[in-house]
Amino acid sequence: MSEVIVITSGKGGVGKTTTTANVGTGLAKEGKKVVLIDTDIGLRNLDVVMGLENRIVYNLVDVIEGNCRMKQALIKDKKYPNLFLLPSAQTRDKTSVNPEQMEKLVDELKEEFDYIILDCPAGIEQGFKNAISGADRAIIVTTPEVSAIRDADRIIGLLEANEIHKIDLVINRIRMDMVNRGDMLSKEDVLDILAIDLIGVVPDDENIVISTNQGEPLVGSSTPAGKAYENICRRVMGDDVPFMEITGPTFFQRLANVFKK
Amino acid sequence: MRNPVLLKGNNFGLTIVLDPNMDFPSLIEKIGEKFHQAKDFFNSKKQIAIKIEGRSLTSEQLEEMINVIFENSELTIAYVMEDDELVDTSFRQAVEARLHGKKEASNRNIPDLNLGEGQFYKGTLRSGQTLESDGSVVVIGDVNPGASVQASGNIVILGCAKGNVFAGADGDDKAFVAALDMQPMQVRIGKLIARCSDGQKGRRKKKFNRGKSDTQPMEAQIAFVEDGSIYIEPISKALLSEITV
Repeated sequence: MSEVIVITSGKGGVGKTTTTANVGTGLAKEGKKVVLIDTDIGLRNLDVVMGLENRIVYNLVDVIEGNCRMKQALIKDKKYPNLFLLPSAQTRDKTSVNPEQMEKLVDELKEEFDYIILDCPAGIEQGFKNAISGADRAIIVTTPEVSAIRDADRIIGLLEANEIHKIDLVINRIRMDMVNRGDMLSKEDVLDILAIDLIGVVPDDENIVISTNQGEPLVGSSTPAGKAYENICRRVMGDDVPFMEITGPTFFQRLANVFKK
Repeated sequence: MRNPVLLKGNNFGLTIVLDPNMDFPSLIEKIGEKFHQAKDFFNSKKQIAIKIEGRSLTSEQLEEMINVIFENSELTIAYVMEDDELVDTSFRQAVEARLHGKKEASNRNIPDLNLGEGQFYKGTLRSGQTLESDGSVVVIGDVNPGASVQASGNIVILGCAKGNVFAGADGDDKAFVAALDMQPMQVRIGKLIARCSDGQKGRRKKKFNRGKSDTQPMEAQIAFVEDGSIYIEPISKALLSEITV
């Protein structure tokens, strides 16, 4: 039984692509057969975050236009042989694909994969409509900022209008020290507004920047964000994992950081 | 003087516009002249329908007219349509008289409780969603920031009102907005607009402190117009007794 998950946010730069890469890699690590689809035509990133940019020959638009077979466009991951990426086209735009074609493509992949994860572009236009057309469920990524939450709220409304009712929330880049000072919205504040199921909270972690630049998803590593993403993957599979206590850097850690600089 | 007889062709036949003031005998003469002139134009032996506008004719007058047309041209009149407008008005008069009678009858039977029209909406209104109603609205759920509710009547929100609420959209400033948790961006009642004060940001900052907002009991509030200003106050019996629906 395969599941099609769209990862979306409305606002840009909140961590959709990072979440896609880490959730996909995490699920593959658990032995699932996973394909990641980058639907951000014209602004492709997922291949870079996965470190697979140099392997791209064919892309999503090629498959849809029939320039190549599906098998030719799928790129196998460096580490996990059961993880694949379908990259988007860089030289085209969102209008080169329509929702019906996308749905057909996803249906074709369903036969072979356990999880199909769609990385949605920012915005609510054609690209968004394409990405959600074949999805069974959605993961919304937001940061604890009012602008991101406002957009997430709009997206939830649009998903519900498109008959996608299983919607989970990832709160990304939270900083407990700021929450405790009262300078940042807490997990509870965000849930208060959005009122959907929480599937994970990812702390603000500089290791994410490092991992993105290296093209190596950090899921499963001992870093705070790595652990958080691992928990999210297990919750996606239906496991009941307790939420880990996110703490800010302790006084001594902060002191150590000062000295490091 | 304008032409007493006007011929207009359409897909089905002819529309004959008649002068309503001219006496009939001279009018029929004019019709004869007109069709005689147009004899070459109407040279086919077609059956046509005619429609008469501008004047209602008795059946004798109609017969006379058809005879005149027949004498002066080769056309055969297959069907005569009456003036729609005249038919319409007489129909409307008849229907209205009927309805009016009924309304009076029903008023006699049931005492008038002056019920306002209302609708229920269940669910959270999210950013970008708008709920509009010609009557009053009860929202069972939250109205999130960026969402709006607009009603000609009153608005009751069984949840948080954080978006825009607009009661009395037709200009009725007796309308009100009530909510279990009243923190709207904007309240509009009738022609008045109130927005949340910028000072509330300080309050919001305090709200960031965890736990506090959860334990504080929600207080239902109502927004209404008095002396040309919008007031938001906790709902009390005294306030409710002043409300007219």
